[in-house]
Amino acid sequence: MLTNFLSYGVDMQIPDSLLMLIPLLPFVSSLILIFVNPPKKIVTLLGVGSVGCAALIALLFNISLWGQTDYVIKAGFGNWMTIDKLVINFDFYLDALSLVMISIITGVGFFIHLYSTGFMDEDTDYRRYFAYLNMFVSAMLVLVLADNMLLLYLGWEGVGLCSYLLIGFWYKNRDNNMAANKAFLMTRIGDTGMAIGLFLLFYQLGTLNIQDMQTQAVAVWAPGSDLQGNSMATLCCLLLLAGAVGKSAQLPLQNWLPDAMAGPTPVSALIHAATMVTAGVYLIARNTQLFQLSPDAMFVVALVGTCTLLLAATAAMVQNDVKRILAYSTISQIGYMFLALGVGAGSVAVFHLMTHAFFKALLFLSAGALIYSVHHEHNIFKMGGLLKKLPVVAASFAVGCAALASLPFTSGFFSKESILEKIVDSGHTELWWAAVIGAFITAFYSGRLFFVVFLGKMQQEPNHTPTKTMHIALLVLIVPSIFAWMQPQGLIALMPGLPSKGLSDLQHWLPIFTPIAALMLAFGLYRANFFGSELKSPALQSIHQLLKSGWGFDFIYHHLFVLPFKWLCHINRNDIIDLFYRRLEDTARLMHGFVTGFQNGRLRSYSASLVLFCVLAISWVVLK
Amino acid sequence: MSLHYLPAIVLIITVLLSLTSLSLKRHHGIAYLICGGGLLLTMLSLFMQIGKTGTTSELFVFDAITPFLSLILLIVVSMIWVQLYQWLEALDERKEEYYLLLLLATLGSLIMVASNHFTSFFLGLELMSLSFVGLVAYSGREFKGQEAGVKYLILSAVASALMLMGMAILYLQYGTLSFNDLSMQGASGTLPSWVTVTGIIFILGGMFFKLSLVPCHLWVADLFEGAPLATSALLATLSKLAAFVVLWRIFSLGEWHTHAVIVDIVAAVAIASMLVGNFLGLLQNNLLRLLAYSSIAHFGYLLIILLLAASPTTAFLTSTFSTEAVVFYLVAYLFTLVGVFSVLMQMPQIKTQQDLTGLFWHKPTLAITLALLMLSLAGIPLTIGFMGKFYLVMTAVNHQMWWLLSALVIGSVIGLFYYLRVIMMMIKAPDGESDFSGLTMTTNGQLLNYLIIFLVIGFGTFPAAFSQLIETLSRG
Amino acid sequence: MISTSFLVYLIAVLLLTMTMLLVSHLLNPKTGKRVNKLPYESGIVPSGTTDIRWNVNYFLVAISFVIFDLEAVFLYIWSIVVMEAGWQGFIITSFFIFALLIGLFYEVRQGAFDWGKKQGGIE
Repeated sequence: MLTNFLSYGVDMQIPDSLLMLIPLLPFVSSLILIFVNPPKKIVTLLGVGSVGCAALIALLFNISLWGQTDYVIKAGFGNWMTIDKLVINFDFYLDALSLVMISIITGVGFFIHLYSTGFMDEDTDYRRYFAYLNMFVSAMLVLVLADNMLLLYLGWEGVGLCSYLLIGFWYKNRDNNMAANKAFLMTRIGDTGMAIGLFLLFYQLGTLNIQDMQTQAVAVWAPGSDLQGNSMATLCCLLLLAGAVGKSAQLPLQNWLPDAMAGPTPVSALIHAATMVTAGVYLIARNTQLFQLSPDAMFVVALVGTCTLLLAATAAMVQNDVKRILAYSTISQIGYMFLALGVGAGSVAVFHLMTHAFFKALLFLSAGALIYSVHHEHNIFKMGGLLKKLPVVAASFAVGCAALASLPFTSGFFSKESILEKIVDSGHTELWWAAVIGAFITAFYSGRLFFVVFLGKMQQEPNHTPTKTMHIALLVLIVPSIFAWMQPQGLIALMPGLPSKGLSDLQHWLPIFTPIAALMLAFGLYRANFFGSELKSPALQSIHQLLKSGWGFDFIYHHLFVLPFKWLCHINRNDIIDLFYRRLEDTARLMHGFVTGFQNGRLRSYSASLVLFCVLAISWVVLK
Repeated sequence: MSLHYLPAIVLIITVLLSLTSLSLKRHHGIAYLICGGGLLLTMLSLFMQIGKTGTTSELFVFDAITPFLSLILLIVVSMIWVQLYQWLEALDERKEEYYLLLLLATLGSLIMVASNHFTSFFLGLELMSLSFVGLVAYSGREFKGQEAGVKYLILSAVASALMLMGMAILYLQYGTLSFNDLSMQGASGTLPSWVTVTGIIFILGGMFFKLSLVPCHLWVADLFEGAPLATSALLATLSKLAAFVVLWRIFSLGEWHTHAVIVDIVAAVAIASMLVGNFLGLLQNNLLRLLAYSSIAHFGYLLIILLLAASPTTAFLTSTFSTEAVVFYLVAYLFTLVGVFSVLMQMPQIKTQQDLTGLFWHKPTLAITLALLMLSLAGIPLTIGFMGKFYLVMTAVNHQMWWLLSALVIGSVIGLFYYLRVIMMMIKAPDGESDFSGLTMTTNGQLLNYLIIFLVIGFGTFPAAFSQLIETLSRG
Repeated sequence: MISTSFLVYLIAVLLLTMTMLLVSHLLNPKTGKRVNKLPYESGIVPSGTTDIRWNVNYFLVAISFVIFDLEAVFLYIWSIVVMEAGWQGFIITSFFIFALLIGLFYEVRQGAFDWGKKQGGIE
């Protein structure tokens, strides 16, 4: 029966123009929610329904394209702007990569929306929340479907804006606003680099259409061409990488993501799983051919990924806040994806992106349910023994942690395994070791998180039980978190893989046993009551402190950029440039006073002015 | 007697008719309607002439552009007339004579616009000026109005005297008073050229007074402030437009730009007017004085057009573009100004910028209209004022008049300050001191506001239709 | 433009006027009599104030006189060429007189000539 269905699906033709509906539906719903104030039920229906419909359409596309590997669907709203050579269309482009992306975004997004109806039920700004959320999803869909870089950039900025709005959603608390500002500014740094990169690409290649750009790039900067062309390609790639690094919270722009936890938890789930942070991975995957032209840039990508994954994983080991642990784990997992992209295995990177989206959404949503249940408590050491009280949450948390730790036969295991395999194929043994160590740490902190929260003595009685919709969302997400074993077929065709080199025994077995060993270590330490206890040695304490602050990047940036900037502002308090304009203002005032002096209201001076003109003019004539 | 004299005849008959009706029975409504009917008929008769071939006689010239300008004048007058009834009802004075004087002033300006001879020009000028004396002093027992009337009477007499002196000197030189003969070589041929130049300077002095250009600008603010609102509106539009058109005609027909000194003087006056006008307006609080100062600056900008002829690249009249620029600018400025005055007439108790505080929150339509008009005066894009200024700047750039252009730019920047200040006052939160409860919106006023918005924004956004009309007219 | 003769002339004018003023200032007898401050030093000594109000009718009559006087002047010119101007001239002149007649009618109705009444006329 399934085969029947599938074969039917292959034959099924759905109109290409349906593609346009996918970003349009959430967008329209968001506009309606912004400008109209419907009753709450309608808000729910619009907010969740629009994303649901988009997810359905994405599903239809999935079914109709099932089994095919080489397909491209285009649909467009027509021309956006035409300036000389620059032709920008509102065109959408669907291939295997964007199909995976829209499926994740709409699918996971839908469940997050569904979950939100429970989570945000009591919030007074229910409507605003869904308006932002829909806009967020819509912007991300534009980003992944865009046919050209400018439209992609539009979605890119839209995502940035919506993340800003959502992180600062509870705007009455100043800290939340600061976190939103931080996220926005940090990503802007990358965006600026990306914008410059786009200018440069257009200048060099004469087009912004993504597909044309790839072919053009290969033509212009063909391998073996002169050194200058190569370095230009590297420069372009590095500038694009800057944008990707900003959005995906990689080194050195990673430190906004842990603070971005200030928003509502479903928003964090959306940011971490489906939208926003995956944008950087998508950008590089989209421009694979471009990046392949520059081995140097590729290596930088891999290096950034490796450093980030280690850094974030170590930071995650010592956090208290459940959401911060998850945030650092996201950074670290995205680091894996960058590493995979960097070694030239784009398809596995996207595969990991997919599995990560499932289990990270699951983790965040169950973390949200957890927090919701225990008086909005974030500190894991104030929880404990919740296994019996919150069985569904515990189960989903367990599955999520298992996938994150890449225990065998979870989705995370397969994707991470293929990444490690590809690293070996690429020949970067040192990176492979780093990745395995990262995997070990990942499993370790996943174990720590789960054990501390759900085992042991109960610290606090839960006061809420999660609503039914929240449970549904969790239970549904458990399924793909475990069973997403298959890499989408189209991806492999789309992105060239690496020739397999074959693994040695060590390389084959070590990654499988690493997480198990790490979990056992974590359990052992938990039993020994190591977690949460005071550290004796001052050296260890300071290391703990360093790790906890995410390797002190905030401190470094504060001293490196913020303080000098403040200092400059302080010096220029009187605004040196403004002095010039103030003098202008004074001059204008002076002139005004001068010319007003003549307006004395006396008839005799008025008539004298007439004579004065004649006298002056005639004397000019005479004297000339 | 050709069709071309019909508008003037209609106006004269209207004047006589309203005079008769006044003698028989005084009734405000009747006078209002007679005036309106006369204006309407005049407009119709002018409308018939547009596009027709013109003629030139000894005293008058009817070329392609004359009936169009006259029509614009009459539209402006009618726009003021629409509001006159309500406004005069509130005035503690006999009301009917105002229409009489209005019609006479209109007649004078029509004669001036079409004049081709110093005699007809002077007759029209005096008819208009004397009517204006009555109109300016038409404010009951208000002290400032009487003062303004006396000031205008004496100053316009001085200006007329100067102009008569200039005409006499030119007559001495050429032996004729027709504009057409001004470009001839001196008939007597014995007098040196500076005699002619002196004559021209006298005439310019009188005209600069009418156009309130620096240094003959001092009277204009007192007059705008003292005179009744409707009169100020007429003074700012009717009298200045007529004077400018005549000046433009004499200047081009007489080829005055061949005298380098005259060109220098006009350029100096233009620059001085742009700067002084805007400087005067800078911190001015009284709205009417503000408008007076802004009109000084605006006519300073317009003087650029006179100098175009001086540039060697084009001969005057062959270049239709500068004609187009003049007409477009004049029309844009007139409509904007009439709009401002009609908005002010709808709220008679508002005198200063402080009075405007928070108007937007009480009467949004009025405030938006006024804001758009201010933007148009400042020359912000998408308003008709911008298009006018755009034309002006383009012609000036074509002729490479960098000095005048830089003065124009500086002046505009200064001007922006006080135009925007008016808007800022209106959108400020109401301070509770300004009282708008007395403001009642009449249907007339409302409709006029919408018409003004339509004109200002419509022609500002789609100027092509209008400029093509002018282009065909100035070619024809 | 500036010639030597012009300069000499300019200086001469300035010198002459200044000399005249200076000399008269030096030569005049400095007596502080009251009559010296009066507008007319010789003739009838003025009395009373100049700030008196004239009845506005006075001006109306004066203006009416000027108008009809001018009418007579115009008509006089027409009478010279009455045959040459023909019917067209006659019609125009008639119109002119007619217009003035309406003006006169208006003036009468306004009470411009009701001298006795205080309330009539333009207040």
